[in-house]
Amino acid sequence: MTIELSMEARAALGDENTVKVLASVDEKGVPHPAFKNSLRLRTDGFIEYREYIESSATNRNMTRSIWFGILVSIALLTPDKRSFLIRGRVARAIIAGREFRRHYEDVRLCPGDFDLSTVWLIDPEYERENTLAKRKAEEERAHPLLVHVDRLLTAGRGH
Amino acid sequence: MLKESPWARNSEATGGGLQRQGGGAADDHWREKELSLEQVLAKYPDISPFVIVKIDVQRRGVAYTQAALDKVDPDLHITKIRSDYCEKDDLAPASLMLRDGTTIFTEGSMVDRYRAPYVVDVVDGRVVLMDEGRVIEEVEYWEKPDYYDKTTSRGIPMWQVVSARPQRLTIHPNQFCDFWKKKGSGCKFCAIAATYKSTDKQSLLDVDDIVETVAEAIREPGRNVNIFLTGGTLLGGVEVLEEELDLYMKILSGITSLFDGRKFPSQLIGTAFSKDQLQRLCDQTGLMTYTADIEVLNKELFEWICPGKAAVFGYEGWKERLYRAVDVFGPGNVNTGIVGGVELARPKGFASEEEAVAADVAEAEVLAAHGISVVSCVWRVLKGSIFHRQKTPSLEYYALLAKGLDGVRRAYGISVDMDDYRRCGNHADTDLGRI
Repeated sequence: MTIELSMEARAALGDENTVKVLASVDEKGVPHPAFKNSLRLRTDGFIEYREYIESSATNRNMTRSIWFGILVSIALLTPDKRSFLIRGRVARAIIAGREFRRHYEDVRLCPGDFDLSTVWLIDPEYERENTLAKRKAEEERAHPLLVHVDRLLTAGRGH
Repeated sequence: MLKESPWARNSEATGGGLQRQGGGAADDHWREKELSLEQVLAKYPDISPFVIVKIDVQRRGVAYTQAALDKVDPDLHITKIRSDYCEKDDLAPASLMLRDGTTIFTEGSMVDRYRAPYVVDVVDGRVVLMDEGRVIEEVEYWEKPDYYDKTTSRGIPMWQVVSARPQRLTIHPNQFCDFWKKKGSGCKFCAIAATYKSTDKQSLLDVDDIVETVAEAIREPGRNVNIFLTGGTLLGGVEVLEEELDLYMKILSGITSLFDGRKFPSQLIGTAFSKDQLQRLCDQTGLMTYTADIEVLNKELFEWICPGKAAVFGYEGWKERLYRAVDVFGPGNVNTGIVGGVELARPKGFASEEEAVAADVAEAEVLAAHGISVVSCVWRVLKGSIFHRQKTPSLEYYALLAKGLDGVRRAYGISVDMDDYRRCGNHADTDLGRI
């Protein structure tokens, strides 16, 4: 793996109540965010997700990404409102074989009569916690000039 | 893709039952005469590098190191193949798959006569494609379906009845071809007759064996997305091709009964049936798509390369039958295959690769205007074919042909579903349709 995810990000990926969004880009560079609750961390460090729709925009974009080395982003929002951003490189498309069959059989046990197109593996290259309070504190430390001055009048007064 | 690897090293292939195809002399200077893989990748950054690698591996073939062969598990991987043009029961992998899901057809260890093959080796525990000591990409071996080692109730090994791609069942009911019964009528690139005569197999498979094998195979969860039939031509009958139609009707009717009479994802590559024959196929079986391979997109070359087809149907007659097939199966459910590169065969072929690609794309547009897609295969000069001394085109030619045919399909809005990377996987141009 390029990076090992933090414990917090691992926990977020492992929580079935976390909202998980995968953002890929189309041929014109337009972002395509999609909710992908099957996103999970594997024991080998890859992040995987199950694509159910063969001709979906995400599936095409993921193919484009693995072909041309275009990164994808994952946004996570936990039940306690912590958020994480992970960027990664699309590493593998599992479309046949024993591993695909295990996923397929699992999907078929779920309600909804779904098919399975592809199990995509993403190699995480970058992670950041994007929870607003944490980002606000980072911003104020790193960019003290980037502030409306009236805030300074009320700072520390329990505004 | 194609990055310098810290673990790159020189590798010596053992061959693994290496079969050199064709009869010409090897060319030690072939690399100086055409663009390399790296140059083609750099020149065409908008074409999938995985597809370009696939093309080149199929064009040049592969050889396996002993380490790579040691990675083959006969209980897990497909090694045995019986088809109308391939007979293989050694322990080399049947074929390969890239990590984006692109399939590479190597069918054992067939290599081009004029060019060095890629080498499949093991580096840091991973099976990789190598060229001149550099790692090109990871590869996987095709995994074996559950039915493969079973036998029919008549005791016939099921792998000899239905062969398997990673997601497709392939049936070759007639393993010979009537065009080869008359001297000078067989297609010049084809080795069906040589393959047949090199074995003691029956020309016609038993219909009950086929249906029984398919019934067993389709039980495997998540394995198959297409049931495919093709084979040699059977010209006989009251009307031409009635014998061939009757064989396919019997098989397809049996398979259709497995799906309670419903349509099922399926493709038949047959000879050019009449509209009435196609209507019967469509109305009385679950068949969903139909292909009649025109092989080469030029009338004069068709008459030279496919003399049997030309004599019975004619080039324009073949096209007309394709048009009528669209009336029956609908646009996007009919296509035609070409053997990419045979239009450059000496002495009658096109003088240049540029001219050949331009002519192919122009003729593909004529067919596309009627709702017919043209799909191409990489021509591998086969031992036992009339063209066994010919030389295949450059990688750049194949990259441009794939891009051109994909472009025609996009321009005319023709679906690639019937013959895409999963349902077939043997066409670089339809691989490009994934995005």
